[in-house]
Amino acid sequence: MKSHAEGATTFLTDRPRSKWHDDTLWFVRAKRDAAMHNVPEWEDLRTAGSAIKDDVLANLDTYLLQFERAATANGVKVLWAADADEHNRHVLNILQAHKVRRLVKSKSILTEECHLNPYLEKNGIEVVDTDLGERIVQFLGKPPSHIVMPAIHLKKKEIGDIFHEKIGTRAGEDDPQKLTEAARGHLREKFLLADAALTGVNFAIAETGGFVVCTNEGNADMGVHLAPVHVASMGIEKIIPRAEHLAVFLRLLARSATGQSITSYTSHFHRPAPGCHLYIILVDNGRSRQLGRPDFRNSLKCIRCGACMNTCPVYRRSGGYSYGFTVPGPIGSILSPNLDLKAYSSLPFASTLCGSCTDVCPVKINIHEQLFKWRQVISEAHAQPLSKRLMMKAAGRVFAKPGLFRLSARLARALLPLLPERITIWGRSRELPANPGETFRDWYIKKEKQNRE
Amino acid sequence: MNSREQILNAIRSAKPSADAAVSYTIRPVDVGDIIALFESWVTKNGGRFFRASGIEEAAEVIRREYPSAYHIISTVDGIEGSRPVRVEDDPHTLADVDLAVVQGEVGVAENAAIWLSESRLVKRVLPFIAQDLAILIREKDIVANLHEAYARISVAEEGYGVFVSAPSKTADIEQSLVIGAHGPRSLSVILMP
Repeated sequence: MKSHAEGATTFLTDRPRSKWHDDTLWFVRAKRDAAMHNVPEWEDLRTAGSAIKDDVLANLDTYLLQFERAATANGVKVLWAADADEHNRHVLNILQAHKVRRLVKSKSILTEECHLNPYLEKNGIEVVDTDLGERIVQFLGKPPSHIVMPAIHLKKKEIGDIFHEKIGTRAGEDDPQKLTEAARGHLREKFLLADAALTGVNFAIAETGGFVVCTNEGNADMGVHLAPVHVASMGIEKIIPRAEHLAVFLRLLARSATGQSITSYTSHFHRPAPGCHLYIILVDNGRSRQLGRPDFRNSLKCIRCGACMNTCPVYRRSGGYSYGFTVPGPIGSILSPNLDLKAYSSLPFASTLCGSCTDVCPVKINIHEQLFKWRQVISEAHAQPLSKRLMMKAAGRVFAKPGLFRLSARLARALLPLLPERITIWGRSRELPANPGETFRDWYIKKEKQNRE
Repeated sequence: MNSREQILNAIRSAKPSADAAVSYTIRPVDVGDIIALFESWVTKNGGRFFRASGIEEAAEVIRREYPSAYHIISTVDGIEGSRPVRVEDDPHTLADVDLAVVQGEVGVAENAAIWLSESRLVKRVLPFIAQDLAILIREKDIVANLHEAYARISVAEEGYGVFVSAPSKTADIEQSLVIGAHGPRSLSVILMP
């Protein structure tokens, strides 16, 4: 598996694109800030969101059983899946039982995590992702590069090219309005022909046995209200105790994600439509294991808003694909080592530990602290690259001896300006700040002397 | 052991001990005139806002704003559609609908979300499949925020309910906002006393 640094190098080779990606994501972050400042009680909401999720984690089994009872009473079929394979088999069994040939999907990061699409396609089901961004990356045979904005890494010209090839738009057409209109026509046909629809779940309510799906495009609703079969896949951590808690999370979610005050559509499902079928699959796939890690269990509070990605200086410059995991960016880097410590061992290092992710997190996950903790776990479990080991050893020695430290600091001050800026690819689009005239130590000694005089 | 038991047992041995029952307070914030706030969010979200003194004037607004709508489905008493809709209809038969007119039950000032429930929609797909959507809402049904909205709504009373706050939209191509992704290309909100 490629390390994050290798993946980032690929993305950073195209410097203008990296800069453009950085600016685009920062623009979304700025919209989030504006939306947040509109809500004076924002910090109350974050505290509440975090507290409700604490309760969920401490009583997860109880809430899941309560949910199962209520949903079953509502006429919903509830299935449990210990891992990705079992989830995929459940979906296929349901589709085969209803003789489904065409499935439309709305955005579900969980099904990406389970690699559902290739599994269903292998079994003869046509799978169409209907979120515009997801349809674009599906045409390209790629996963989303961002969990909220799946095609954020692509330019409109590239989207125009793939639409020309796949749905016959005019060659060279790159007007977003026209491309969206073409996709509307293409996908409307898919909605009308689908035998079943699959959605993710933003929140599931233990008390009522219902669940909520948020979209801007209306694609989840177009799918499920036309097809006779609706399958909803959810991670077990998506449960919340009561319907009134939706107010807290919905006030946080869209503002954190895109700076909207709420998504265009917030749909609440409790019973199948007359004559239709509704299934919910509760998926563990490593979540109960993460729950058992005291240092990392808070990561399960995540409501998948993507704010930590938009603000992350590493994500913005290295792109979603550099992480090689379904959920990229800071939150993905604390979720992924739980699933495969070795494969994802470079991800907790793909951070400056600046803490911006923690600051914007709507449910107060201590993301940067968990990144630091994973680094310790990983360093104990796996040998780090030789260069990193030597550097750490040298740094340890220098920091332990004040005289050596002072000498090194002096040397560094002299040598730093002479360093080639291209020592790593990260340096190419940055400039070193100018060296200050004196070290802090020199300044402090001088001040002390002046004070005494 | 089946997966259900396996998952539940794994959770039981992994979960942290429960603290006291969850409690939180959201400080009340005075947002001023909630009708004005509601109106401002309708337009900020990409919708159009109208006032009507009663159902006749609302019907006039709809005729004026959607003069070329041919297939009209209204589930609101007093607003005439071009044909009726019934629960037993195949939802695919609504694919030709130009305009849907529905009654909103609760409107939220902080984000212009309007609650629509299944019984008022007749068919769940109606407000999504129509090319344009008009929602009627009464002033007395506007609340300040989502907390107040959920206090008024019983989400499980019906099989389906939805907050609609805007026309269908996307910004998936280079963050350019495009109205009319899959669902309605316009949303008109008509406020009545």
